[in-house]
Amino acid sequence: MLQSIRDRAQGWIAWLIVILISIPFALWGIQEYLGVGSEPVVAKVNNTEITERAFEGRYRDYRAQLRQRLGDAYRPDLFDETMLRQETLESMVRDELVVQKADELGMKAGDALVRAEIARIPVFQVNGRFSMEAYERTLRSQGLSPQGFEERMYRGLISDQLENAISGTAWVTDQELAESLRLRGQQRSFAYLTIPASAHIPEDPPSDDAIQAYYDEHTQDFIAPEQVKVGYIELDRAAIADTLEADETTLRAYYEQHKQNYTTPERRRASHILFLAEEGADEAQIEDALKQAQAARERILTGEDFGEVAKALSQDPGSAQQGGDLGFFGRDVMDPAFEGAAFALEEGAVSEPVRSVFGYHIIQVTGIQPAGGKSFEEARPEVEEAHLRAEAERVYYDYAERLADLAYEEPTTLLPAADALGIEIQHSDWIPRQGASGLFRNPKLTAAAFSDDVLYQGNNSELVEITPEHSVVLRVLEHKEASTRPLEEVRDQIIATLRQQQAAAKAKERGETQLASLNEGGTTLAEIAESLELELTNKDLVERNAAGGREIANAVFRMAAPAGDESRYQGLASANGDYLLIALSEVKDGDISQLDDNEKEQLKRSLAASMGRAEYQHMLDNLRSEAKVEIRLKASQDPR
Amino acid sequence: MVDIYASDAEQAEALKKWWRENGKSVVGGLVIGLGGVFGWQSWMQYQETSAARASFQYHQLSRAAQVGEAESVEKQVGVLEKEYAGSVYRLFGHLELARLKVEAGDLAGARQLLEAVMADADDPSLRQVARLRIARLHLAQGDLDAAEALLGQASEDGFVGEFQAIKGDIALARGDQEAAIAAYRAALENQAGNSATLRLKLDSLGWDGEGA
Repeated sequence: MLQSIRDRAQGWIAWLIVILISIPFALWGIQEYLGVGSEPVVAKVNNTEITERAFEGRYRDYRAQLRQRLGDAYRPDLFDETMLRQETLESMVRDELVVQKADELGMKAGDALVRAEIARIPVFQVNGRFSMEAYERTLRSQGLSPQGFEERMYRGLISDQLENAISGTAWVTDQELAESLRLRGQQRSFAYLTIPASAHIPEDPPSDDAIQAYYDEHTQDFIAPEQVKVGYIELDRAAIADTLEADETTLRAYYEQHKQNYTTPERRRASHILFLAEEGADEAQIEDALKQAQAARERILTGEDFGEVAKALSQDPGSAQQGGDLGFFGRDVMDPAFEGAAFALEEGAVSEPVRSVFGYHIIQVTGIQPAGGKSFEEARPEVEEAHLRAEAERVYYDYAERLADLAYEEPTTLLPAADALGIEIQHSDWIPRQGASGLFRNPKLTAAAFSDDVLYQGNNSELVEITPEHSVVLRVLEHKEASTRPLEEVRDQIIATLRQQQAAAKAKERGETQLASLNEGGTTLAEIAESLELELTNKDLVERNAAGGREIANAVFRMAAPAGDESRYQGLASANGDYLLIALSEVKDGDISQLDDNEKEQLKRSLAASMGRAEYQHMLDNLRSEAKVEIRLKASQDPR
Repeated sequence: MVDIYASDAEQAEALKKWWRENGKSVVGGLVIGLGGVFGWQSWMQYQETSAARASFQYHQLSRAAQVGEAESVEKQVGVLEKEYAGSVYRLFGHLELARLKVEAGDLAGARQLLEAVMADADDPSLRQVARLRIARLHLAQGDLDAAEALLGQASEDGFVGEFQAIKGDIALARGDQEAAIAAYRAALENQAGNSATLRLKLDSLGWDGEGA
């Protein structure tokens, strides 16, 4: 039989089996090397992949940074998630491109440099020096491996080098600086007067045709946003407290329970002399202590000062030097036997020897603070308020829990919840997405009202907490898509706009007539101001930011310089409908010699920095347009 | 090569004979092959450490440049020049030193350094940066023609806005306001740096923002 196996094992079938078996062994684990299907990828930059895991990590960091930077102003619903994700991915792509370019240029960061840069990071230092322990601990707490972190440092280093080589080496020449300052520091003298639109508002209202025409042309401006009306149940601890009452017995019980809030108990001050005889000491010792105590008491009773005796004899090291003084104390602080004696004595009296766990005490009471505070009758208003507050809190939490449950169990109506809790359902007015006045200004509520679940699925919202003691459950009752408002609704608004437009046109027309006569040289701006009884504003050699607003500055500083003594004139139709007549009389360029060295240096630096940033950005743009970048990020993670 | 049916002695004899004939080439091949592998590896190693050293040198140089220690920078540029002539860090060193020279008023010296960068850089963006800066130096020295000639060489890429800004300066220096306005506008549209200054230049030419 063995022979037959041996014979057959040499046939071609046997070989085939061996080959088939060896294939899986040969290829086992090959996907580790090829990276096939190992991880989902969100982008491919040339031949490098950005994995979804790396992306999500970076996105989380980015959000965390945002939250930290904005503090209380951070509101997640204000950010367009899709846009943030795209931005994050774009920045990862950019970083990858820079690293690839640095590699291609043959840039490197050696171990020495990487190590030196790591050692400079303050969190890895203890007392100003790099600590290996701090380094490893910090990395562990961030969930990073040293290799991973060093790789990251490496990439950061060569990227920074490349950026610095471009943007850090930018400069401006003295000529460029002087030119920039000549323009920036330019001063102009001018005068202007305002022909107000308000003086030219027509008496007759615009015709119906004109109104209709305006309405038809500006439909875009009259779109009412998407709105909802909601029914809601509001829970508010303060409101609940108003509905509650409490009877005398309850309040009295509450007072008794919280007595320490309304009364201050008696406190006493005492001095003592201690003769040690701790529990478990032998008879002779106890006897001895008692004798000493009696002797000490005798000395005091015969006129010696308690304090002096305490200093001389007391075996309580904490108080002996203070003449035995223990300061003020209330009940439940001292040894029970000691306390009993101290609270029974009259002020100034000296006790018999008192046995406590420490030994024998001679006690003298040196001060009494009588019990104080308010009786129940005196404290009643406070007690009532505190009790109702606590009660309301209890009711609030109970209701909130039940409301959340009921609204969830019956997702298509609020009635069962309203019945069960005895709270009426309230109805809102129309609310747009960006919020209305009052309660619905709260973005949490509008977000809930316009959420998919509530708006489209028709369910109750979850319990929305406005504050920890104020919450709302709502459901959408009516929904209005964005729509054009009817003409009747906006008629008054259109009339006002048309009147204003006509007034502006009239002002402009008058202004242009005057401008024409100014340009003919027949008159001056001052004369016109006088004849029209308008105020003339004079500006004497001012820079742009002091010209009296952006509109005026832009107009004045774009006028050609006057030739000789002749002023130049220009009209300006302001956005508010007024028409301005401007007379420019002088232009004076900025002068570099007016700046001190420090100011010059600063301006130079800021111009060079701006130039450098632009140059580096152009390089990034080039990298991006040359690279093969594939983005596979889904538009949104939102399931809808 | 070896006859399957021959006796052991014959086989041994045949092997010996084969070795006599081919032994040298086998050994030679092995030596060349292994030598190649090890040589390549140590070459890569050398490149790697050489680049790392150049990088470290540049790192130091850049710090010195930031605090304006021109002498030290000049010395370190010399080291990069001599020992790492093929490295991109040498060119970075030139860019740093050129900045110091411009700030010290030595425009000709700065131009020389930048011209070396423009000639030697493999990377198009680096060449553009150098070209742009050279053109601005020509302008500062009043050599409009030389600046214009450089504009002609510049490729149309991310830097196009910067070259438009220079074109505007040249046109203005020659008194062609129309052309200057057109060039400055193109510069702004292509995200040229120092856009605030560009806008002021347009204002001073009386451009009222129409068509923006």
